[in-house]
Amino acid sequence: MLFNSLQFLLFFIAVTSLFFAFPHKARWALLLTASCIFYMAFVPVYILILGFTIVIDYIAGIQIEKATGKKRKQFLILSLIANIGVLAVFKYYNFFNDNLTAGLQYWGIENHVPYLKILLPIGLSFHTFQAMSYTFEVYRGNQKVERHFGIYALYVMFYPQLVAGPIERPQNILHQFHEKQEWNYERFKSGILLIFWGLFKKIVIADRLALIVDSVYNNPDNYTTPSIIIAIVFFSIQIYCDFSGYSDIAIGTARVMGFKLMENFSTPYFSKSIGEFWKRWHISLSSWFKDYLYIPLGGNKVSKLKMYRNIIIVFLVSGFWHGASWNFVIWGGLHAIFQVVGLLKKRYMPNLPKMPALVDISSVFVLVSLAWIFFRIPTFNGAIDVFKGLFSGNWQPKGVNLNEIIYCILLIIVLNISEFFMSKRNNYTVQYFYLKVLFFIIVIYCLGIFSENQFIYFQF
Amino acid sequence: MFKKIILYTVASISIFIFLLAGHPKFMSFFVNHLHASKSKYFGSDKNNFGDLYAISYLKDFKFKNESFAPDLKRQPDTTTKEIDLWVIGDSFLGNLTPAMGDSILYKTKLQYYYFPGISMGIPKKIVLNSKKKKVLLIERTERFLRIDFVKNKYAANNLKFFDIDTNKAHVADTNFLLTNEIVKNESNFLDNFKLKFKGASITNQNIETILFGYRMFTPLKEMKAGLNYQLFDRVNDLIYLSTDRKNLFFYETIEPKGMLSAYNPFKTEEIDSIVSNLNFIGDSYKKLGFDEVVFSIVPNAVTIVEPTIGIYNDVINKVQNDKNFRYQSIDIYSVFKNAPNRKSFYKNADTHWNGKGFAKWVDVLNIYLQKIADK
Repeated sequence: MLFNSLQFLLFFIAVTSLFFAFPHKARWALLLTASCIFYMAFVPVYILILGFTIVIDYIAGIQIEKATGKKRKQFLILSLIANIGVLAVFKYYNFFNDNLTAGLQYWGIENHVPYLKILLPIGLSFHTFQAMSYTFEVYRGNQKVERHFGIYALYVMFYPQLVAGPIERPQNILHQFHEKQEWNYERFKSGILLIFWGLFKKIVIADRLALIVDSVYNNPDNYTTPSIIIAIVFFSIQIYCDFSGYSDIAIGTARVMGFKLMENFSTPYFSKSIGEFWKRWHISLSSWFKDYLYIPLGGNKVSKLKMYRNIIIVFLVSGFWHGASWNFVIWGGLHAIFQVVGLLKKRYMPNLPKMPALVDISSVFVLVSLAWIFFRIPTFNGAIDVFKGLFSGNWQPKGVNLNEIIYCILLIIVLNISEFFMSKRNNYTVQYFYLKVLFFIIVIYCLGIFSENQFIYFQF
Repeated sequence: MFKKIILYTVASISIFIFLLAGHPKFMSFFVNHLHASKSKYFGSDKNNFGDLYAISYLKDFKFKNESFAPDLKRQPDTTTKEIDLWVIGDSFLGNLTPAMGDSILYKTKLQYYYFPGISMGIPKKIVLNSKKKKVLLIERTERFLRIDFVKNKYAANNLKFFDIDTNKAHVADTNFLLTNEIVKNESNFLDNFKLKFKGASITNQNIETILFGYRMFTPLKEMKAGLNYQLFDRVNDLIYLSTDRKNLFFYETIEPKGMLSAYNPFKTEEIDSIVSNLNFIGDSYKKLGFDEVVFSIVPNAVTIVEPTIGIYNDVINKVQNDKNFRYQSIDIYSVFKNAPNRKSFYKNADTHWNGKGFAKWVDVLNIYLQKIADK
């Protein structure tokens, strides 16, 4: 079920109304049922995969708490194998097989390993990581084991963040499922406005920019340098509005019911360094990697050389997490290089004059935008075609509608101004609230693109 | 308590609409009622104008659906009806009623027109009259050839409709389409997935129809479409505007890689698959007792009106003239293609032909029927 669908509107109204009508004791069952329905709206049978990891991690959690010594680690490893195994089969099997085929072909050998005719279950990487963070935290002793199977299942499956995050930590969300959430009008208003803001970002901005971005990226040969620059810049904004819009809707949906999900974005394109960018972009994922990969590798408490190695590992794995394709690995690798080069610059050229903030922000935006090319294009050659077009030197504007570009730029300005002011305002009067809701409904209807576009991050 | 009643009521209404939107029978009833309604605010304009207008909401293409009758004026046929014609077709023949058939078809009694999945009230069993020449006409639009007869699982589903009464008719096996191996290729997982997504998308469209499918919303929809068209030169992504901006086409019939596209080339084995499926269907119905089975492939609008948008895949010619194709065709494609005024056979904002196009098809059909009757 897509957030930007009427199905979801009815689903949300029904679930939220029932949530507050039901007694506290029955709410977990309502939310779990709703989450199952939400997930099964995509491919029903894939719920079995979720069921499998839920059962394994639930048992592993209990066993980890019970066990002592080496056995604790064994149960953790068992849980990790189950989770990573599911990811390996459903997300990476065909990728590895492809590479095996290419490798064997080089030696003139035919690959007889069969391909799996499967599609990636939606949101697999998200809920697998969320499940893994539970066993990690139980193992580390930061989280008490959850003995209520239904509530544990809800922790993995909570529908607002099930398919595209934020990737929650058990310490933040599990206890909330046990607490009684009371109706709160202020929270309701702010949740609803956040949902509308997310829809605005997705339907009005991201999907409008996608019209231009898709036509350029699908046929870069047909476009000249200015159009390709526009597409590159617009894709940066598109993916931000698409993903942060999803997060806003998820956070807003949970907030209306009284649940507090973690923030996932914090105006990342205003970052002055790549390091800062990753503290403000997809925060729930970057903090996951920091907690469960970077720090266990030694983090920055090791030699500088090892620290750089750790950074590179984390970004490469992060790229691979996003998708089973070398382009995602290249994308992660580029961010690793940007980050390491930034640190080296700081270390070896500490006396360089400080640039104005705008220069730093622009530099980060340009680097991130160039890296997004590998993220957006599925093949390496395709990405190279975009770069060729970018540096073709043909400055004749071609193939894009000037009115639409001006309109998109206006939308981007509105986006930035609104996000700046939004963070300053928390209290809404009733009149202001209803006026704003009405405004959103009119604007989203009149300016929105309704073509059932999926959220980009669903594929991960 | 009062608060709980309100919450349960709101939830119930939402769930009720949700369930209704997923219920094909209800939606069929609802949509029919909506289309028939004359209400100024709660009726629907969908059937009054072209189907592509109803998607695009471009005011410039808001043409009333005209009656076909003026184009179908024929001398009343008072001769004995020597032929029983049974038709399995799609929306292109939606205007073909038994009453109309009597007056426009040569020595022919139209027994049934059947549109799989749409027609209501078709008798489960039909009886073939051994004293008449029994002709079965199977009509399909060009754009569905790939889906129906290459991905041929659908052919089996779509074509198992004439269940002939074996007690009264002189035929034996009636369940051939259920028992026979028409399905050669398993449709792949990706297709199934896409279909499932389409299913979800249909439910979403149904909810939209229930909530906003009323005439009172039309001005808003037209305003939005006009704004996008005038300012950004954009139309609904299911629509393609002809080069001269006088016709709307269904985008999937243009999209080079689309399943329905006139510009997506057919491989030789795909043409073979279509031909062998058509042969199989024809043979099967002949075994059931039909004297003649004839096929008619109706071209997509773009194939006739603006075939030069891309490189046309020429599927109709390839199938009709395939050396292995054993059945006759009502070859309307050649007639349209060679006509000096080829653009005039299709509506400007619709995937279908107009009265003139339909009348031309009737003429070609009558030539065929005449041959059969006079045999």
